Amino acid sequence: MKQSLAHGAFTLAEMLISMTGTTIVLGALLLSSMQLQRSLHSSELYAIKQAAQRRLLDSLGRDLRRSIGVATTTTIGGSGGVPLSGTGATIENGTSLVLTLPGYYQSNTPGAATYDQPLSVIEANNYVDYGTGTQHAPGVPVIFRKVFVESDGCVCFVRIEADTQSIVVEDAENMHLTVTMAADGRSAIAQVTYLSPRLGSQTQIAMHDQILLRNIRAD
Amino acid sequence: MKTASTRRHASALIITLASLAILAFAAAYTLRRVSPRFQMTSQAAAWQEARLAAESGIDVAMADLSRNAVGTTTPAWPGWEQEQNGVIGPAVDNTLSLVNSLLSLLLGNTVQTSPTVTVSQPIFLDNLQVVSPGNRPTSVDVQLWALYPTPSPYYRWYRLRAMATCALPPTSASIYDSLEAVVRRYSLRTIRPQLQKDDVGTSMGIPTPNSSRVVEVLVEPVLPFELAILTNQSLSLATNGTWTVDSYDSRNPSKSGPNGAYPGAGSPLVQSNGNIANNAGRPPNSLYGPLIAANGCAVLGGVATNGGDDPSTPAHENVSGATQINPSSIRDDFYREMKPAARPTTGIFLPPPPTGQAFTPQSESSPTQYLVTGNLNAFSVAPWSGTGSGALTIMVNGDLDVSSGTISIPANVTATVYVRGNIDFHNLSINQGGHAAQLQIYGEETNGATRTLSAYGQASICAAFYGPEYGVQLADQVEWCGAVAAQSFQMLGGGNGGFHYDEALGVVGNPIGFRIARYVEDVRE
Repeated sequence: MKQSLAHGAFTLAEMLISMTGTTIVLGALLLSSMQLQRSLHSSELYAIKQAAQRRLLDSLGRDLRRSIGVATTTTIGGSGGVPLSGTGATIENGTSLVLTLPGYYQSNTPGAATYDQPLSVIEANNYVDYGTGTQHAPGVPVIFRKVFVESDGCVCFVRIEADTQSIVVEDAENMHLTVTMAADGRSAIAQVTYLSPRLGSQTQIAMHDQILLRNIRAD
Repeated sequence: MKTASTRRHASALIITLASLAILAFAAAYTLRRVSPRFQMTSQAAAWQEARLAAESGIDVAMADLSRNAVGTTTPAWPGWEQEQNGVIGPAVDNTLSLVNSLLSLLLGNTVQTSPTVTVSQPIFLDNLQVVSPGNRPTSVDVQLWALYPTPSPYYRWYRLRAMATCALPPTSASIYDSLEAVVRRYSLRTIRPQLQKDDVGTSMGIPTPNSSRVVEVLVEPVLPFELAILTNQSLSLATNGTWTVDSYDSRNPSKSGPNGAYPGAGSPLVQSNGNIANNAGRPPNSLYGPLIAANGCAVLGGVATNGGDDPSTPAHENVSGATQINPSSIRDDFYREMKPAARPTTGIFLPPPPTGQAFTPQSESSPTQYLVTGNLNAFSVAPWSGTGSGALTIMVNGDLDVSSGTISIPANVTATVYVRGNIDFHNLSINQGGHAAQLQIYGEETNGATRTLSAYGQASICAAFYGPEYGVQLADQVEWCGAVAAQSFQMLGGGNGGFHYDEALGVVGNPIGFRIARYVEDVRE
């Protein structure tokens, strides 16, 4: 009987100790799971934002490098650009960056058979460049803009080349692009910052690229 | 007892394992979600390195251009290849020439003509191996075409196109982000078909997945007379009077006087492109200080040096006596390599005509070549009656010494004179009534000997001179219409003389180097 009772139940002390232990273990497990979940979420957001940041810098750098004109404008169509030299501009709140690329392709209409075909080289005005007949090809405007894109339902950085818009970065509400041209207008520093995805953090994470313009500016 | 005890231990073990499993699962899930995105960093780095490699390919080709394609000789292309009738072999030297050789024609290698430019068949560098910063396998193919915008066989532009392919990490089997795919345009499982036309020669050996980028440039010749005055060592302008550096354009009636002559000081037709520059740098222990002595002369044009200007001060320390020079026209980031010009080495060399008789020109594409073994004095050139313009080349082993008479050249003829000795125009008028581009004088390599070009008094010279190892010494009131590129330039005196750059010279002369005039990246392939 005595032996049966001893095996049949825990004492109060044993119960309290085991419950406390279990609570601590489960609590630790729950807490670490939650921390891991938060870490997962912020790591993923961080990776997404960093990839977007790099993509925006690379996309802009690729165009800046070959551009023959760098300007800012507040017009929708990109007209009335003010050449950028020795100063900087933040590309948001209606301010767009307008880069003029040298004319190179036979067509700027996506899907056209000659969309990826280069123009001939021709001579006019004592220099050789791409063109048709006896005329050099005009520059092609490329606009970088931060706008709300209805189809995606979010603020995006978009690139508009000859009226064809493509999204470079989605969910760009907390991402900021600044372009600063050197005084001689031959190089630029592009900087993209975004708000750290860590909850409650106010840290701006910045990445910048210094780009030397390969062509002589025509603006 | 034994059974109960075992069950209790097993419970603890199960709880522990379950806890670990949950944590491990969460960690694995985290890594699985996040690691592909961080892997994109490596892929983007490869994409960047592909561009660097493509630009390296362009640099290699530019070096070969500078080494092989300056001056008047037919360029040689060691290491380059070409495809003829499906067979790949070493590049034939004159594949890029305006007039292909019989051999080239037999092999089906002819030039093509666009509306205004004659384009040669391409030659190429195949599968250059480039060391990328990330130590990724990288291969570059470079294609080169010669472009002839004029009938002159020496005025060549070039088109260069380089495709570099850089390996991606083997696990890059898919792009995690569709937006990323639009920008980077990787070849993941097979090479994108559009790229195959740039993979010339033997197929590149970089396996997929990889990243390719294509850079294309148009290269223009650097010509010897693009600046009014260009020096390698020292540049000193006039020391008194109203001596001025300015410009005019003999091709344009609204920028020149009658018959394309200099319109005269103070004329509204005078232009402001009389640019001057000096290549010399400052000593290491004194980085800032004068490199051009303007001596109070007016310069209507840019003034450039190789350093010397202290960026921390508003003054321009690199130019002394710059009181009559627009400060915004002064810069200190200039350098242009000047190599001595070499005379033609092929063709028929005629002896000079008897004293008193004129030299005879031929067509511009096949100029008459004269070899003067001694000195050359005043001379004249007979008119050209054929189609187009006439031309002749005179190679002088001794001095060009015009102590009496003049040099007279008809309107439709260009005389190119190579000189190994000194040049002296004394106080005479040279090529008066002609254009500077019609008298191009090249001072050859001196092998360390001192060589000078000099004039004094009321000398009035209309000519273009290029001699990187010659010292130009002008005195009194010399007036020069044209351009000078020399080791040094010194104007002692000045008076009412001046230096008037003819902007028409900007497109004449034999190339002394090459520079990129247009850079594009073909992003739609």
